[in-house]
Amino acid sequence: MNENVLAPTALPAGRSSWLHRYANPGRFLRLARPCLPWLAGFSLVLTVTGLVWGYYFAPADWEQGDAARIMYVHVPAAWVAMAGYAALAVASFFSLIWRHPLADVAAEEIGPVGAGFTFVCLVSGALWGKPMWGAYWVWDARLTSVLVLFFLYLGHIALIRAFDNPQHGHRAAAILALVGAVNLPIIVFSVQWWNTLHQGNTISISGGSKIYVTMLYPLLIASLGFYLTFITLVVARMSASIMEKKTRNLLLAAAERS
Amino acid sequence: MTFFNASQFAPFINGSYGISVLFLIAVSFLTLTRYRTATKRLAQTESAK
Repeated sequence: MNENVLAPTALPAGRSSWLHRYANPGRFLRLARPCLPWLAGFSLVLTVTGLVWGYYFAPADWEQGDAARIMYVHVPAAWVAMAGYAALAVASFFSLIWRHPLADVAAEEIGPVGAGFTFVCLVSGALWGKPMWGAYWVWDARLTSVLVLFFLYLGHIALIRAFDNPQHGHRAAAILALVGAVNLPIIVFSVQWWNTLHQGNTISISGGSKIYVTMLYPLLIASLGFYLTFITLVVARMSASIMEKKTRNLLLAAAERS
Repeated sequence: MTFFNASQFAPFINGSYGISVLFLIAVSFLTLTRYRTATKRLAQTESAK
């Protein structure tokens, strides 16, 4: 039994190593590099299949006509934007609690990609809103909460790079990401809590989706493609970031030697 | 006269298809360029060591 309470024994190997083993940037790089071509290939195939199916082969909506095809882009982009922020919050939690360098890298690289998908969601929704609602933008609860999500992403991107000491930037941005996570349930339930111009939830995991299968299948395939595209982009950016840091360290070490 | 009439354009443009596809292509291209540059620079630095 360990008597020294100030220096307790490490966690049992099985419990502590699971997290730390895969949080090592070098190991992540060794795992990610061979996976990247496969990830990119699958994401390309699924995204193209879903979009082409939705664009050419899925039926037009009886009321909205071809304008409804916007959902094959808008809905996957919205889902990925929210999932991306959830991933950002998880990485920030790991960064704050365990100070994992890989969690910092993940948080830094998820931000710009998530902001991009949120931008696509907002722009595609605005382009659909003009012919359907008569306005590009309304201060509806769903639209406003997604705009807040976009600003949270931008704030995170700015904050993480705002300090001379990167550690301070990562810490401040992690707190912002965790506080901002409260916006996610607001986005999801905004159409139930408030009277919104934005339509209610159409897809339900527990069944009872209000969409016909000929539209549902291309939507799900496009969504899977968007998720994989997001993962591919984040993994590629994380790998590039790790390699850039490694190169910088090697150059610094060489400069110190000479 | 409306500023933007969706029915005047092909669905590729009036929907978000055009913008989104261009966005995805641009972001993927930039990411690929960054990744390849990082890989090349690391390989060069390691070989020069």
